[in-house]
Parts: sequence; C-alpha cells; structure tokens
Amino acid sequence: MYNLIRIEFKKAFTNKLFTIALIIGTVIAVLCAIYNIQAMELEKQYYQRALEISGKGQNPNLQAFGLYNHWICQDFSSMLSALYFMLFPILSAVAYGWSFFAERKSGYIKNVITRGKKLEYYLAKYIAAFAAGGTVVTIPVVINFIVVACFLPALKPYIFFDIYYGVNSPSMFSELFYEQPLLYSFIRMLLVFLYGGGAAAISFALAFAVPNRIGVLLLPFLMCLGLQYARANIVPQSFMPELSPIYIIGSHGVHIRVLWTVLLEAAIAIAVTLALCLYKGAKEDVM
Amino acid sequence: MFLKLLSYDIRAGIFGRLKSFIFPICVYVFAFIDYMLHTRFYVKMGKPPVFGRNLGDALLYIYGGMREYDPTVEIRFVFPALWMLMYLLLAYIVLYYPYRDLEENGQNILVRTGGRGLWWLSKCAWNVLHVSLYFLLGWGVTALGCVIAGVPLTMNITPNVNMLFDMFGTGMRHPEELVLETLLLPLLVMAATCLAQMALSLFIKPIFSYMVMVEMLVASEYYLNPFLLGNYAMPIRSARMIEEGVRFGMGCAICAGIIGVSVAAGLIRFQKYDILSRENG
Repeated sequence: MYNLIRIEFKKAFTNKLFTIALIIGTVIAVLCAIYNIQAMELEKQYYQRALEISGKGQNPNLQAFGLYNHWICQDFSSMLSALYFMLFPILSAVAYGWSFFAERKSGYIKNVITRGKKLEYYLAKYIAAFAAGGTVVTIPVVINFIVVACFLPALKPYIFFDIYYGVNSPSMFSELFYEQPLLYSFIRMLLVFLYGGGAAAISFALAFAVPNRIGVLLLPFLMCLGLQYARANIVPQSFMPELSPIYIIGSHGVHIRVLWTVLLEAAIAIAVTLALCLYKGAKEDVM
Repeated sequence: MFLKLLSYDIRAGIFGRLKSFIFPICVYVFAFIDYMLHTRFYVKMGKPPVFGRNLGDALLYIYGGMREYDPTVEIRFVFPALWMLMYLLLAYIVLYYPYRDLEENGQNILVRTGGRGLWWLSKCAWNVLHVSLYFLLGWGVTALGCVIAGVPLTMNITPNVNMLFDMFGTGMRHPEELVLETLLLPLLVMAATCLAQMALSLFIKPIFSYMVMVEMLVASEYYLNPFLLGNYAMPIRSARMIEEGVRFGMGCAICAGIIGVSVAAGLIRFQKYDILSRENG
C-alpha cells in the first residue's frame, strides 16, 4: 500500500496538468494580490487627502487597509478573486482527478491490480487525487497571502470596521478572526485544501459513472454552480448558512459561513466518494 | 457531401444525445418557478398594479444577467448564478461531441470523405444548430410555464421590469423595447462563444478552452465593456435599458466577426491537425 501511495503521489505531483493548473491558479492569485495592493494604496491616499482637505477628523481608517481583509480569501469585491474561486473545482479536477478515468479507459488499471490489491490501488489513487486537488488550489492562496503581506500591514482587525472584513458575529470562527487573525487565515487555507480535495474526489468518483473525460473534469464545477444557483434561488432566504462551495471558501456570498454546514458539505462529498471508492474497490470487475 | 455530414451530426450529436437536454430543461423549469415567486409581490403593488407578468418578462428574467457592478457603491461582487449556469451548461454540452466523434466514427468519415474542411464546417453548423435548439427549448419551456400559470404569451416587456433586477433611479431608458436583445442576442453570443470554444480546442486542450469561456463570462459580469462579449448576453445591460449600455448592432457585428474568425481559424488549423495521436480533454 505504501508503495502504491508513493507511486501515485509521484504521478500526481509531477504530471504536466498539475503544473499547468498550478501556474494558472498562481497567476490569477498573484494578479489579485497586485490589484488589491494597488487599490488599497489608492484608497489610502484618497482618505489622507480627504483628511487634509476637510481638516477634520484624525481617523485614517487604517484597519480597512490591512492584510487580513485583502488577501484572496477575504477579498469580496475584486473580479480576480471571484474568478479564482469560480475556477477552483476545475483546477482541482485537472490536477489529478482525471487519472483514474484515464487509467481505466486505457487498461493500465489491469496491469496494476493483477500485481497487487484492487482496493489498495483505488485507495491510493483516491488519496493522491485528493491531495493533488487540494494542493493545487491551496498553494496559490498561500502565495497570494505572502505577496499581500509583503505590502499591506498585518493590522489586527477591529470590530467596528466589520463592514470591511465581511466577518460578522454569526460567521464561523468570527472571534478567532478578531483575536487571532493569522490562525483564522490558516484555517481558511485548510478549508480551501479540504474543498479542493473534495472536488478532486468527486472527479475521481465520476469515473465510475461518466463515459467521457470532459464530464469527469467539468461536472464537479457544474455541481458547484448548481449548488450556488440552488442557494441563491431555491433555498429559502430565511435559511442563512452559505451552501455554495464557491462562496464558502471565497468571500463573495451574502450568506453566512457556518461551521456545521461547511464541515457537513465537505464530509458528505468525501464520505460519498470514499464509500464509492471502497465499494467499487471490493466489488467491481475491471477485467 | 456537406449535407450528408450535417445530417449525420444532427442524428448523432443532437437526436442521439437527447438525454443531455434533461438537465437544461430542469434548469429552465426552476428558473420559471423562480420568476413566478420573485414577481408575486410586485404584481400586487400599486393600483392599478405597476407590474404585470408576461412571456417577455419571464424570458428577460431568465436571460437578463446582472446589473452593472460598481465597486464604489456595492460591497460584494455577487455573480448571477442562473445566468452563469445556463450558459456554462450549454458550453459544456457542446464541448464534448466533436472530440468524441473524432475518436470514434469521425476518423473513418474523414478517410472516406477525404475532406477535413467539410468535417469542420459540418461541426460548426452542428454547433450553431445545437445552440439554437437549446434556446428554442428554453423559450418553449418558458412559454409552456406561462400557459400553465395563466401568464399572457406576449412579448410586451413591462416598463417597470428593472425592479426585478434592483435597478432603480434615473437611467432606465426603454426596457419595453428589449425584445430583440432578449431573444436574439443571447443566442448569437452563445453561438459565437461555443464556436470560439470549439476552434480554441484545436489549439489547447478542451478543458482549458472551457476555462477561457468561464473567464470571459466572469470578466463580462464585472466590467460593462462593449468588447467583452458576455455583456451582449445580458439584455439588462443594453443601451435600451441603461444610458451607458451596449448596443444591439455592435453586438451582432462582434458576434458575426467572432463566428467568422472561429470558423476560418478552425478550418486552417484542422487541415494540419493530428487526429490520431491527440488525447481527449
């Protein structure tokens, strides 16, 4: 099992599509960082000029221009952050989610399972797809955080500026955001990894049902879009928790990120896909 | 020979894939129900009511898109889920068939017809037909919904339809003249988009050409710019609706240009395309 996992991880993290997906994500994330840094510089100059002209007030609103509300996961107004989180299911699937489908179609799977256990192979493939899918969307987010941190001050968020943060009291870990913002940011990055891995796991599981590679790559994205539509137009607005994965890991949604729905969604995606993997690993005849 | 190829594509690519229309039908049904629920308060406002339902309003609601995003006024950029789902679903449905055909019967057909150009032109025609069918389906489902709900089957778009999109204040010009923008432009834009996606797939992997379409649509939502094609697929951004809106004539011209360039570029590229050693997706 260990050898299989090692081989699959090597295939996952050294394949060309993983690199391309990582480059695309990183370019968008870095451009988003540059956009936010420039926008904040302009706004800071505007506020200072306004203070000089009015001659009144001494509040430069510095907390509105900090790192913790302008890195990509907390940015809710720029196009690039919206684009990044819109594309995350596709990037996750492209990283390594397609490999199980490709190996089944090419017949390579028969070479592997005749030399080892089918269940171990399926599990190793699942773990590698999950890890690669999570990693490919998390690394750009981390890079974005680092780039923004190089230019914007890591000011501790102040509760009276909550309109600039988009983290209100019912949001998950809101107390942590105002007390330990770095830890909160780290948790947000973990969430990105979890959902990225989940999207790749769905892509893996679709190999059992979808007869074409494009469906395996794009259906997780369309599912996220469908869930977003359902959240916006079908689920009653009185139900406040955010359900769209795109808005859960980003910040563009108008609903509240609540811990139990966030974890429940991820748990359902992982549980269903893992159960399918284990069941098919035990029962399926690939010969 | 072209007609034979096209009839084969229609049989295999449309009638042979009727199941692919199930999900769009569901989306259209949900969208119509959403329209009825969203308008149930507006139709009771005012004496006489300032808002009336009809087929034109329903179609505008479904295809309308989002109002112009102003980052200095609005806090969050929330993109229109229905609009995105409808167009990206269509882009996904038309993405796969040409490549499946190349993998299966298409190679035999290419050998027998000896004409790569005809194969490509047939696929372009199939693409446009498929897009047209998708929109006809939407119009049909919406019209059926109107019949069932007792909503008039007229295209007299209500002048106060801007209320549905939270567009208030000055600047609302002539929403009642949005019929062409509601019916024709989204179809033209998606025909151009899907053809461009298909042509681009000859240069880069289909999945990445799909991502380019996603990026174009997201950029169009964010920026009201006449050179971003997605703006023409949002009737509420028309110059008949808002003063700084996009124009119908320019939209048609840009779509025609993109269609022409896509067909030509694909034709040239496909002459040298290696159909034997490519990977799908």
